[in-house]
Amino acid sequence: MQTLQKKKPKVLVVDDHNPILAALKLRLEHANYEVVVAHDNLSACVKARESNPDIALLDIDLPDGNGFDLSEKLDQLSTKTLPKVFITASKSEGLRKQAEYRGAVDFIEKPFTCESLLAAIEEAELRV
Amino acid sequence: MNMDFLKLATDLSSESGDAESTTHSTQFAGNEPTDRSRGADPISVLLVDDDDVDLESVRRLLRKADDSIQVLCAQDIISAQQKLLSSSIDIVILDYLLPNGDVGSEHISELRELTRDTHLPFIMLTGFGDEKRAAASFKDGASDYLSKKDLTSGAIYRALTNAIDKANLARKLDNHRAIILHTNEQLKQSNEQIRAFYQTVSHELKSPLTGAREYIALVRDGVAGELNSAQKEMLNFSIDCCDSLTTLINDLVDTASIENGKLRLSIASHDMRKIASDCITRYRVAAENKGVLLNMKMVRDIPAVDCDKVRIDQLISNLLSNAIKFTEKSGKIMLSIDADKAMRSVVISVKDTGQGMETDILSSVFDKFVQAKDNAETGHNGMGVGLYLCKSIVDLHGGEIVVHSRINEGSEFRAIIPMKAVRGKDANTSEEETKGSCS
Repeated sequence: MQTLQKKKPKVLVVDDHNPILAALKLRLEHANYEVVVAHDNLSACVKARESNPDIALLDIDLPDGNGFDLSEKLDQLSTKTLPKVFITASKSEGLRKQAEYRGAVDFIEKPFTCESLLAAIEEAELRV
Repeated sequence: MNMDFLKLATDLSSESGDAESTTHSTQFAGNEPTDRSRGADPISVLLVDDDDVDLESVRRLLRKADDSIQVLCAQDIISAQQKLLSSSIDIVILDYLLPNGDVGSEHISELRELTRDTHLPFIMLTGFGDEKRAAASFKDGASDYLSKKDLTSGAIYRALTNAIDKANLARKLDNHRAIILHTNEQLKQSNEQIRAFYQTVSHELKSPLTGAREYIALVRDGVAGELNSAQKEMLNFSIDCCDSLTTLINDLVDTASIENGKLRLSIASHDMRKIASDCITRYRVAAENKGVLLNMKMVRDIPAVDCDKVRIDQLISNLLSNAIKFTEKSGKIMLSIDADKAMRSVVISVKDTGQGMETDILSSVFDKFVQAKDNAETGHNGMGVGLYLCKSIVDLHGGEIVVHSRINEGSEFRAIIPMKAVRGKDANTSEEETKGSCS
């Protein structure tokens, strides 16, 4: 007897640092998520329109605007509100609070552990 | 007005004209204090009195005391203003009662404003020496008060030189104050630049570190193929090294933020058990790798605590990391969460059976850049800011941290945090305030 497995959600991953972007993609694919990647605001919006992701994992420091701005753009582009996880290497004050204010599921500091990353994505998955 | 008075007035006028032409020049550059020390140049006095006889007698007394004194005379405020604007005056001797009931001391502020010298000294003169007038004069900013009745050259000279010295001192004080404020502002800016630099460096270091750590973790987790246990163990050590480097970078940035008073708490209601058990989970592997037994106990049920979850996590993590670092194989570490009897504060204790500390180090263990033992001696690296950060985090929560330690027996750090949010002390406190209460 076959059991129907629920399809894992599609995660849009945005980070301007290519090695990290590739590592995040590997990690999430290894956990059976479908992954779409983008390295800046503009390409993220294009990818979001094309692929209609379920979850967004957004770096805060991006070359053409920050992850918070991108978060708003993604909400405008989509018919649904994407659960979002923010990730950053920055220690600037108030980023965590800003993320909370924008309804983020989680806020992850780089370097991250795979446990904290997957826990945040799983939490986001519950809100899909 | 008789002929004598006319002659006197003419003499005075010509003398004041002479004085004006020989008076040295003093710059009033904005509010910049000007030190006109006695001795270098003759003292220049503006004498304001509507009574010709009084003017002349005071002038003579002044010249008798010191014949180098330059005396300019004015018989009303308008004329005094003109003299102050056109000449460099060291001191004003001002009659208390001017024509039409005008009170001389009430003009002190405006005359000082005119010269842009807030410390220009004024000595008040009156024909009636009474305490009320003296008090009123001082209130208006006069430096001294003399009665015309028994005026001597000695008394007037003493008052004159004292007032000038006092004014010079006040100007020097202003100057020093301005220098201190300016230096303080420069230091603040430097601190801010250092903090910004640390943040940039932190970001630039952490990006490649994130890549390095995650690729090692991906290989360890078998994403690139199966590994044997020895290979996995080696990669775990690499990850531990990355994590140590991350902690050092974060501590460096946090220390700079504390120095600038920029470390702010984000207070919300949190379950202390959850924060503590998350820390234990994170440090269990490191403790096991060292053969140290790490345990946690909740001594009693504690309601949610108003705190900054990230900072309390950092506090416990730093204490656990230290305890693991200084506890040898087969040693024990206990993290316990308790409350005081009144259930007003939560008590976080990290107790180990490690090396312990000498008594003389305990009083400075929470200071910056202090290591309980020399790095070379112990082989442990660190910048010595971990406990300083712990102390600052506890301070910001309005709590207290104490340490008990005995050499070769172990240490116990106890952080006492109010359960309900209190207005925490600023992290940028003085050195004395940041010292922990040690016993």
